[in-house]
Amino acid sequence: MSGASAIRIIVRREVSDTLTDWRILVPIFILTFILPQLLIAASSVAIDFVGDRGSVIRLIPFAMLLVGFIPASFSLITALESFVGERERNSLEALLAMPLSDNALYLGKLFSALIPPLMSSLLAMTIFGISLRIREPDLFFEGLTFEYLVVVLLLILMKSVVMVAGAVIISSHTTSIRAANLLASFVLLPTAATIQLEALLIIARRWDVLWLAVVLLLVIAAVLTRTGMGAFNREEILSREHEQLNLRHIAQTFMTFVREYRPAGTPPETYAGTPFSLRQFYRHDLPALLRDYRLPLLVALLAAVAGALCGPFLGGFFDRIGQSPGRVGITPEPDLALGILTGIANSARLLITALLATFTFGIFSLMVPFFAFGGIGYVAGALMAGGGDWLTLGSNSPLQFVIGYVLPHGLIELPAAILGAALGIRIGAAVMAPPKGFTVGQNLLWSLAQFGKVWLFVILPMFLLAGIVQQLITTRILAALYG
Amino acid sequence: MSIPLVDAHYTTLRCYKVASILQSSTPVDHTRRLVYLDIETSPVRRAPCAMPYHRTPFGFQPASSMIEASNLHKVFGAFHAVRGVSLTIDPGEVVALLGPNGAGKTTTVRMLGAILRPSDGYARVAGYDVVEQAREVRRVVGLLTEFPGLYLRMRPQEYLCFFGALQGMAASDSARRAEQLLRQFGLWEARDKRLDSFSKGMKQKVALIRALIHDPPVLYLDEPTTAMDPHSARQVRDAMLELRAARRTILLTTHNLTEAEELADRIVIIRHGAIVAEGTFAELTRQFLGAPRWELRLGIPAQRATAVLDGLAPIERIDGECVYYHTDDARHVNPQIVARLADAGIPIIALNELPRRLEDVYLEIVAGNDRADTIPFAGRPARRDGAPATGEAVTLNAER
Repeated sequence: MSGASAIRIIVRREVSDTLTDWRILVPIFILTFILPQLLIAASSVAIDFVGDRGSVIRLIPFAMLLVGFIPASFSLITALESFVGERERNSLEALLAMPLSDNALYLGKLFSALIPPLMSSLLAMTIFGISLRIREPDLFFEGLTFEYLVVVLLLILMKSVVMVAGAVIISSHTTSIRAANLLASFVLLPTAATIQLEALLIIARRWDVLWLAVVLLLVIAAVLTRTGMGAFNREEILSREHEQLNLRHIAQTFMTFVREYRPAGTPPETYAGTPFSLRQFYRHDLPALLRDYRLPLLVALLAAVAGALCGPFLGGFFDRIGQSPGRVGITPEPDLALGILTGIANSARLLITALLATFTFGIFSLMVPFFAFGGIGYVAGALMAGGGDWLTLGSNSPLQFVIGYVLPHGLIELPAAILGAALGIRIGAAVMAPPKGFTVGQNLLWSLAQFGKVWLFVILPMFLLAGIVQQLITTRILAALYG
Repeated sequence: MSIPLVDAHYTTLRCYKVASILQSSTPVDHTRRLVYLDIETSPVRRAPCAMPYHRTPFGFQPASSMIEASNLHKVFGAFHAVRGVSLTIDPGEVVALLGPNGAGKTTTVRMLGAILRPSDGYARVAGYDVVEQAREVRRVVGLLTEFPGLYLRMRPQEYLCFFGALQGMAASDSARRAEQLLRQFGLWEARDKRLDSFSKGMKQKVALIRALIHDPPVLYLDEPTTAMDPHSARQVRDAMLELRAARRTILLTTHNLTEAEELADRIVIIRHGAIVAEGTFAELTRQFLGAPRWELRLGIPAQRATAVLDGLAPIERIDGECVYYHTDDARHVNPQIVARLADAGIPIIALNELPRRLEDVYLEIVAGNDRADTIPFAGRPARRDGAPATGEAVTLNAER
């Protein structure tokens, strides 16, 4: 049996199960058929009450978004109980015993949580549009354009996929519906914030930014779905029965990964158990790690290139970058303590972004090389705009700026930043797709252990060295170049 | 009750192949080859079997066992649930997997059902590797879970057809098969009711039918008669006997020791994740309860007859007119006892072998292991009569 037919069989059963439950049907009916009428009625009342027709009309498109979103939000509830609900009703094991792939099971659940609320949402929006056309024809064309309809449909679709993908991940990683509901706030709060942002953009008629929101939600939906598929397996769902928060075991596993380097996916019990050796780390482990981290390193490098290219546009958004060109030509006094402090501060920043990367799929780490090179790109761009030339030296020359302000310590600092970013991206990716042989938790511990080692023994020394070089060498070069 | 194949085409094919097997192979091979024939000719579309047959100089021969597990381990974080379980189950054999709660029975079954991946060791089911060919394993296995876990808003037939479809059966085949099994288990009359209106026993039957819907050659049944009334339990036990007769391999997990005793060809006792005893009921009884016990009821106070019995069999106790003794060699010892008593003019009222229950064996083994947990283990545990535990057929793996 193909994966597609397995998905179809699961979806058919789940959807028919949903549609035979009056406790789900009644609210869906109310939200689909009655809520649109209430909102249209409220609009007329609001126009009479406020007396400012234009202000209310600006809210009509938002009302349509609301009409579409509220029934779609039901998908969160059905998705949240997709796995954990079956588990509580003891029906999950029979399903897991079927000859289906994990992906077919996961996608079957995802689609079945998505389809009824989305259908209801589309129906509600259609009813809203038709009712508005009939009851308030003058309001119909004022707020609703074809572009808006497309954007709002896509926003609702993407938001639903994001919510469902997130909720299915929660559902397959919790042991009770109660725990799943508590964790649902991780989905609900960002969704609520997104709705508020969308409301502002709709009122401001910024369709261009709304399109960006659609693209962003699409990326998040794809990442979450991929994460769900990567993290979902029968093994983990059933193993959760035995799962306990064993901090000692977690610490032991972490230390196993710290002591020895083995590629991700090597089960901790197969490690040789040799003690940590700094010599072994520098001679064997670090080169092996760099080989295994080729992909995250490439991603970090691409972020750096993107930062350098986008640099000229960044100054307008960030004051600190925007003020940088004005400081070109100023030669600071050497200060060794400041250099050390700079090194420590940069290391700490990298550490914080890596920790935040855990919860943001590595996005925070991606920002490190992006903004580091973005700043350089901005200043170089500003100098060029001021008549500077890459081929000649001079106070306006971007080449002189790079030689003086960037290269001396940047040769040490920027590779360290890229390496740190790659390690952070790997941490963020750990929750998305654990390699065969690892659970999500083990994958996260493994990538944190690698980050810890490299941060302490490579990045921190490099940043400190870069800070010292910046104070002792860069300042002298700057004095020679700019006087 | 029979488990006929549902499709005429397959039935014809099967009849043809049965005839050729019976003509061409030795009787010893018949059972095994016929079981594999069932896999081949089942209406469920299955992937080509990777290992059920070995290529030999005489053509393809069936693999020796239907379930083969070697040194299976399962570790959940810091918890070692299964420790080195090795198990071989032949085609058509019923094996009862017994053990206290939390012993590792369900985890073992889940590994053999390719739902959980072993942390170490390997297992093959119907020739399929449980790790590399997990989906094929799930196709040839019917699993009755500990709890029925039904979709309660569905009706029995649509529920069964759903699982039939997931097993790759055509809709018409699964509908026919569901009808046949519902009739067989007395649920056909309730076919239009939703499952939430079913009693516990009826739900358990539906769950059992779910495991049988694709006519699997291997069945894992976890507490199949739980919550059933005596009549329903009898129905299910009869069904299992017929499945055994139809050469289905059954791994039965149960706390109902009478049921295990009645149904199982072999008993495996598992504790703390390791097999602590394995063998037939008779072998285990001999191993752990010693020689069979006999009750001799006399027409006079038994105390007066002890001298006559002296030297023939060790007397366990005397109670009024009854003498209790045990002997391994009843065929020779009992006639001698009867002859001596007759010569002495002592009337014999009755001579009975005292029944021994699996429960006694089980408790002896589990209690023995409790003792082994606290006393350093020094070889196999002694039998109740003090003799060292021996016997080739019985294996005993005490936990270290």
